[in-house]
Amino acid sequence: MPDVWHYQMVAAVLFMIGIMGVLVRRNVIVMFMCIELMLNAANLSLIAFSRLWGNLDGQIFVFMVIIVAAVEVAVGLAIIIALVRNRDTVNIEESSLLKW
Amino acid sequence: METSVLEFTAPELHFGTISPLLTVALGAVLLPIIEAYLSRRKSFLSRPVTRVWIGFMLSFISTIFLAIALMLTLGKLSVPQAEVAFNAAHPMIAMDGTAHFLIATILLSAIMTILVSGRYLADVGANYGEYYALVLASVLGMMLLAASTNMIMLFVSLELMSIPIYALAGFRRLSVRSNESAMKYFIIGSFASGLMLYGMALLYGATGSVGLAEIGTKFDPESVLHLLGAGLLLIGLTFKIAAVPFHQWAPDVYEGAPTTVSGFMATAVKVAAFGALFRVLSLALQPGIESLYGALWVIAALSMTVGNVMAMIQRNVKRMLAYSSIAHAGYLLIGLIVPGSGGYSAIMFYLLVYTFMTIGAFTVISVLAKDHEDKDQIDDLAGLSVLRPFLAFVMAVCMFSLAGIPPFAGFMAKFQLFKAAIQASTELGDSSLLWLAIIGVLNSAVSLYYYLRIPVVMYMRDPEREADPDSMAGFERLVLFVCAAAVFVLGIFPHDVFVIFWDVDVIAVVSEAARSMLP
Amino acid sequence: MTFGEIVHLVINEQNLFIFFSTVAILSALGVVLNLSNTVYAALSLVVSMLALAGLFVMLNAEFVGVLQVMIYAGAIVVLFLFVVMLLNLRGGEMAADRQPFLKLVGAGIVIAATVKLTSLLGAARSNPSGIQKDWMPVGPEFGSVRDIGLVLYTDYLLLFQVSGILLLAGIVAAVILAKQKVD
Repeated sequence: MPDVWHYQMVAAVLFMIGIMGVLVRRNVIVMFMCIELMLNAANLSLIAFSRLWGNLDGQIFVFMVIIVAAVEVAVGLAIIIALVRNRDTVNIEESSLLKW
Repeated sequence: METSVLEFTAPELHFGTISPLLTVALGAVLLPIIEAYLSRRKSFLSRPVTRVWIGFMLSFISTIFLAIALMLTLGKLSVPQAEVAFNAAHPMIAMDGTAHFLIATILLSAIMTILVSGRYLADVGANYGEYYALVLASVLGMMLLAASTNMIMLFVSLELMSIPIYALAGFRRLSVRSNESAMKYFIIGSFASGLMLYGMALLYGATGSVGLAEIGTKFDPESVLHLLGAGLLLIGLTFKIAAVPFHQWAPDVYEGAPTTVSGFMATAVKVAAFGALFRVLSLALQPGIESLYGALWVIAALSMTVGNVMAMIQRNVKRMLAYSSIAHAGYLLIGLIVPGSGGYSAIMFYLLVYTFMTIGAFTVISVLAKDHEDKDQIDDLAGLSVLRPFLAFVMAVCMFSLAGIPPFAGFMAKFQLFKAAIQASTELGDSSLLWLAIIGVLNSAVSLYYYLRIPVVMYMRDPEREADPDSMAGFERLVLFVCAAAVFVLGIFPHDVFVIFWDVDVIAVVSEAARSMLP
Repeated sequence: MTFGEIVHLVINEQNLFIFFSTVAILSALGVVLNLSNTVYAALSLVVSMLALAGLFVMLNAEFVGVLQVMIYAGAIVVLFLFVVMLLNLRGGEMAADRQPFLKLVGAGIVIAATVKLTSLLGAARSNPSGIQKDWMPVGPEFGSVRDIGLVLYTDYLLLFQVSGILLLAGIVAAVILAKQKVD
């Protein structure tokens, strides 16, 4: 029987994969997908802790995170579309008008 | 299974307590509808409807909403104890003195931003009515963030604050700089909120509750899980205030974003994020403050130093102001680690002063924009005292105040902050706070170099171009006048600022407000 | 052994956990390591999210699990796919890679941090001071639509309203940024 810490380990690994993607990849859309992975990992952690403590706060939290993620994706992809219209690249290193 | 009738007690709602929030929310919902209604008409009240006119109307309407909210908030400032906003058993927000003071500061910043935006947006070719709805939605998020006492509310209101600002940073849709600024802010901001969310998940797992006060009762500074969660949560918030080492986005974003939005970001976002930091540190992490003290000390010292040193080598005024805002985040963090209410009240006064001087400086830059282009290089300011004497005067006042030269308000604000740190250090016999204050004073001296360069360029160098026709709108004059006047008045009479209008002692108000939050 | 016993031997909680978590982690790696085609990365993301929905259901979060499938897999990733195909951008990420060494170092640091984080969680498991030790017993209704609704519309009513305004602000922001021509 898996206990809560097994779920936490899975969440931690997923979270770190997300961080790695944001740091290593340079395609903005993929970086953005990796941020979604990070949010998902946190969601798994919240759901597991919610079951552990037997209260619903964690599940409400995840409900809200899903709403926030949906809004974030809509706005983020709109920003990407506006950028690509003007520049024709999604590689973040080619966006260098502003120095990093 | 037999189906039972759903039984539940309806939550008690105290509309009076959250009336400022409701006003702003109503504005955020109504403005897109008003915009759609107006832009479909050829004429309104027998006047031809043009884009500029719509922009003017919407800025007027949103100012009314914000002004009503500000009135309601100022009315509550005299009752600093927390009022129950909602279910007493499940408090989501605490409308106490601190929250009211910070909300009033946020609303002031938003009103000034909106008043100066209309002409600037038309000038840079981004005069879309959605701007005002987005500012109001963001203001609602900031107000909730400054008052939230629950992790879920903290997260959602942080996003409600940030997401409209990502869009506002990219509001000049045809400018690549603006697009890139929005992109950078968006990727880094949502990465930071991902980190913060995981930190919140760990804190929830370790304590079993999402309320900041309940977390505080169970917080165990010995446990790694608690400290990891607290650390990630604080990282997420320090991203928002742009403290070193989480500051790299600020110069690029401030430079690329529309100038009025940069001013709004530098002030209102910082105020709201400091409100959240107050709550998190004083409610949830109070038992672990000893373990976090060292990290916060280092972040404060680094922010001051890095911000000031990097500001010296900038050639662009907006980038320079961005680094200066990083340095000011460092000064403000000193107040955060001073135990007791002294530090918090010093921060609140500082945030009010900082709002006036920074909005003033960014407004001057936005007024200079011409022919779809920002004139934001330091060289563009050459001879401004001859070309536009009023602008040069306000800019000089803001720079002197940011540098912390008496008798301007920036000096009084820094004085309060360093005084709180030195007092606490002598009371506790802890020299590390004294050292932080010394680093702060040294940094203020360093900052004189780059702040004073601007008045020097404006007053000592000859103009390199012809005088522009003075295209300033009346609102911009008003805001610039208010900023300059506030910087003078808050600096000279901090104890009886509004003696002409109301008899209010700001220092007393902030110290009362700070005490109201501490348990 | 009857057929039923074989089914129970294969499909039990432990095997389901191993299956879902392996799929989630491998497909998450697929998102990060897929350098050639963004569409495959998006599809990999869908698989990861569906596996997570499975884990959610195992943890008595049926409602949230359904939401996960509907919103994440059904809406968010579809939006990703739309944008990838609309912009029709082709790979070429390797060529533009200017600092491969820095990235290797970054990846190394992240891997080290992962090991550290999992070992910390392992330590918390063996010594859960102050933390709930085992699953709290919960009723069969836990995590159902009814229970979530009861909490959402009473204790969290204010939050629910705020999320509505968040969605409105998101719509306004997305429209103004992505519209082809603004009159």
